[in-house]
Amino acid sequence: MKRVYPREERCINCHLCEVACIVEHSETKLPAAAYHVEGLRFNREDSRTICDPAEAGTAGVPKPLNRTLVQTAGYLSLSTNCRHCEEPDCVLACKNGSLYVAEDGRVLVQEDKCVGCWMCVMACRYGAISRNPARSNVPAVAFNGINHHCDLCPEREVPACVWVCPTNALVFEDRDDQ
Amino acid sequence: MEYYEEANARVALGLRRPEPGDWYHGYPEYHVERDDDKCIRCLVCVRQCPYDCTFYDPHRHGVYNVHENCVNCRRCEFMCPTSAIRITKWGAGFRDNDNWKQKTIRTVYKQADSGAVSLTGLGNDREYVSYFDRMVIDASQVTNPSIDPLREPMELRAYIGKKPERHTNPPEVYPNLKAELPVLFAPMSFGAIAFNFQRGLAMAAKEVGTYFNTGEGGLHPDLRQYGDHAIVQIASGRFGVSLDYLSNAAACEIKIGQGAKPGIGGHLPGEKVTWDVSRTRMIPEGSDALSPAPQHDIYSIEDLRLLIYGLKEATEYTRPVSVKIAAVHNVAAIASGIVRAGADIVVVDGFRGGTGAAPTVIRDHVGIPVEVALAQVDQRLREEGIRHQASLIAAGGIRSSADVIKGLALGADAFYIGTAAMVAVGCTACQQCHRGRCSWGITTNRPDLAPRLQPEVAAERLTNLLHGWAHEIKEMLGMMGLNSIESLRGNRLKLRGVGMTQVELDTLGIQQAGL
Amino acid sequence: MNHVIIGNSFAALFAIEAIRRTDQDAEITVISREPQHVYSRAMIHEMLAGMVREPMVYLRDWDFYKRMRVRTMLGRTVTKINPGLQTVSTEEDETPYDRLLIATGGKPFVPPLNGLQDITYHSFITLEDAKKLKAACENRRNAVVLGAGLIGLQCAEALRHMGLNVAVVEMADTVLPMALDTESSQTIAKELADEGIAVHTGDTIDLIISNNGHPTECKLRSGGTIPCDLLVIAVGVRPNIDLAKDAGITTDRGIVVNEHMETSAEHIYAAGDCAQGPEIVTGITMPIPVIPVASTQGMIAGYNMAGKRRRYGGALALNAMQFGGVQVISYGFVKDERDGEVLKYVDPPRKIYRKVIIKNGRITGAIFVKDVDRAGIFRHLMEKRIDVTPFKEHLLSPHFGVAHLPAEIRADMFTRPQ
Repeated sequence: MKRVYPREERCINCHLCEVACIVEHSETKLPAAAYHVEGLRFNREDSRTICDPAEAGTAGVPKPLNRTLVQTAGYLSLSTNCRHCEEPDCVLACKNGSLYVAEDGRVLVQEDKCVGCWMCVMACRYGAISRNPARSNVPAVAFNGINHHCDLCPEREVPACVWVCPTNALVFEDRDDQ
Repeated sequence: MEYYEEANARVALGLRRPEPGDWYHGYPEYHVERDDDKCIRCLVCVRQCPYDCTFYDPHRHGVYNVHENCVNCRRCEFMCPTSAIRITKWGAGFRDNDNWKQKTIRTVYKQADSGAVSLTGLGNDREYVSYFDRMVIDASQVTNPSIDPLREPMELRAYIGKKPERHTNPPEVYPNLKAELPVLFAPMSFGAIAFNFQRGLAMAAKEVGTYFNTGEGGLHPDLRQYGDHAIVQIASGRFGVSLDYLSNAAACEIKIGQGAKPGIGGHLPGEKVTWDVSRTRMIPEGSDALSPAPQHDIYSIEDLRLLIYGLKEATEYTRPVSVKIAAVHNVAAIASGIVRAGADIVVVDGFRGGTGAAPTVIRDHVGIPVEVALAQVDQRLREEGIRHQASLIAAGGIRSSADVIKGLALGADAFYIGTAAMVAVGCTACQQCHRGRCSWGITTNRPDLAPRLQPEVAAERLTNLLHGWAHEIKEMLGMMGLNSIESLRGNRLKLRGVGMTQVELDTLGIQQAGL
Repeated sequence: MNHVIIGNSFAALFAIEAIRRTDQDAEITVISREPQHVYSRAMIHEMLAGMVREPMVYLRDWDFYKRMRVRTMLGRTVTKINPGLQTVSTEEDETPYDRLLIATGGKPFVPPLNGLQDITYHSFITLEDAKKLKAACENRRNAVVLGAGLIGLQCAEALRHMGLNVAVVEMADTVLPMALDTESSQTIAKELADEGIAVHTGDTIDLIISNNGHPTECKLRSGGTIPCDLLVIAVGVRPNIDLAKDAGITTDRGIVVNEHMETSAEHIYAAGDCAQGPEIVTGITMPIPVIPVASTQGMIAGYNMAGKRRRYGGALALNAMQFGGVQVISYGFVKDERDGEVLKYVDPPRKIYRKVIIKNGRITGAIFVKDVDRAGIFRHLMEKRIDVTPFKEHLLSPHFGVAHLPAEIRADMFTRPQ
């Protein structure tokens, strides 16, 4: 199964992968609309989104949030995302079975079932899951949200992050025989 | 804070006051215009700008610029995913004055600010005449039919080195370089340029069948495998020179001078001496690498002959020895002396040649154009009957295959391209090479900037450039009714001059167009 | 091969999937006391409060058993396991097995309280418990929950959400005494207080005063009396080991299993809250009743039952919870700081707290309050017993991530398929 593998020696910390991810997962696939109309991003200075869900998306559409995250330390940077494990930690930890392994091997979440308990965040040893505050299936819980992780861009031949990377620091290939 | 977090969080400088000690930055040269509607605050430009020009203001949730730091490298324009950025000239600039131009005034400001020598990178950017642009090439019509390069083989291969005096049987053969086309990569030292770029040059040289030159910086151990496509330099600092260095290479080159800064030595500012560079050059990390102006064991032509033969002995006469000089006054006489001293190759570097760091005033005012230097050297060597004893490589602002054709006609055997190679891999000629912050990862070894240029990408682009030029050269040769560069070399009749004085035409040895 | 599974929760679920993945022809039978489709006990509090609709609590689609070709005997209680005959008995019949998985989970511990025998009280473990509690809430005003563990507090929060006055009584000095340390439990206690839940720690119920089978008041050991017309006992869960014990299988606190999830009896396996396997930080075997452990043990048991020899590497205690607006994730032993280096980061106005305990270079406990992004990386560090000394100073940073790990570890994680 093809997955996205980072090549950290080529990463220039530009974060275009995050931008492409956001645009790809937006309603309109237009950058300005994805960022401005569908919701502004907050507190970007540390590469995470800390957002008050009360201010989530304006157009009634879930606010786009990057599913791949550039992690940095010193001069090192690499774009990290869900490994789509064969025996996913998150599926084994999911409180109500909303995370599952699809037929083609991708690990996905049922976005209308996830209750934002964050057992998956606790379980994922790659830190690949983020919390998407723009949607909640349990609105009574403050700062709730749902599981948010890479879905390998089902509508594209090659995931958006791989396509956009200016130094080919991300590759989309099958390494299962290794 | 972590290094990248600092870049991500770079915030606006506070209130600006008119700084009496920094007049140079008092008037920005460029304005970074950002279309606020298109800007999605992705912060890619903030992270990519190495010149402290772009920052994110979380209070206003917007991206802002310190315009006086902008050097017009255009990296932000290139990377912006919504094409929201446009670099423009700041404004009216100084009042129109052909004598006191913007650049002239700002240079005085800079010197009054610092009291230091103003450094710069790349080549002479002033409005001196370009003789290349005043020469035109012949084409075949009617009586001398042109040749179709798609139907006839065109010989672009250049053998570079000493040729025998006369035909004998068996022939006298001297070590020669064999380049599949008469274009080689100019000396650019590791330290002045990025490791990835030098690797790309080496890979492309191997792919195309030509050569790259290590410059003064020695040969990095990881590039040893490209030794048979490498010309290694012995410059005044003797950085990285060892027996292995010489034997592993295809040719050795004694650097007497370079077009960008004739008469003075190489200069690698301390900021650019990273650990890897220091190891390859065998100097302390962070220290300025200043090559002495003369080679301190070459004070006469006899000393040069000693060194040339010293190198030949050391390599057992298996490698051609090249001597590189800057094009200056009396270049023809100097070249003649060098040939008689035993050099197999003479490199003449004109005043448009690029550099990683040189005093601006020397770069812009010292040296002569390579076109006239080349023409005079070729003529003098022919007159003295020693033209066959050495090949001539011309360097210094070779920009296109047309320059190559014209240069061949003026008498060169081959050409070095430096700036053109950098532009091929993304250089935007912002002239900030000396600062070690190259936005494109070409002239820096800083670990955060180096990955911006990937060696395979560089190699592919350089290979493309040379293939394109090769094809164009074939077309132009065919167009002139020639099928070999040998037939073009020194063939001044294939050129005509436009807009030159008679003295200029005579110096170049060509006729006025129309005649 | 004929597989029988006693139990129908997480361990059973992943065992079924593992068996079916390995052996298309296997026969699988599930026998469970509870009549429901496979559901999550961790969801009942949200269902109680009406915060989610009932379908959200079920772990798989309605056609799950059909797709997996599992024969179900739901609502049937196993009374005896016969290891010699390789059968299990229910009240009505005997079911033979080639391989048996005991995944009976836990049962609530009910302490002997004064006056308890006179009233109807509630537990809060099963879906049935939640439904009964929901019905009982009609016309009630004052709920008392005994036990401030995860289950007790989740129940308390749910009841509060439904509009009742809620008091929680806990014997230990802090809420969530097993999962959290002093600082973090104080943060949680404050959240509960802000929600209007009265918390009585270091206390217990001495006497339950009742009228006509219903409680009216609780007398606390500390002296006070609190009104109570609804009582929930949530002081703890014990592994459900009776069946195993009666069958002569080795038990301790839980059913003892080896790294293949095998019990002392041939062809009998155990997994989940009822089982007891090695814990990673200490190496001691103990039951760790959390979902990821149950799921993984069930999966490993299933593989082994179907003939694929897989090893279970050991369990790490892990918890994820949320009270008020505060999320907490914890790993390992967060209170045991003896002989350890303790790294702490506190930001009280933002309610952020991060603590890491390092012993001999390895993390033995870690806790994250409010700032939980990428906490899972710590799970990896602890499970693989990675020496964190080279990058110790970065552990508390909110930016801590895989980029801070040694290159080989990161390469292992991101350049190979997982």
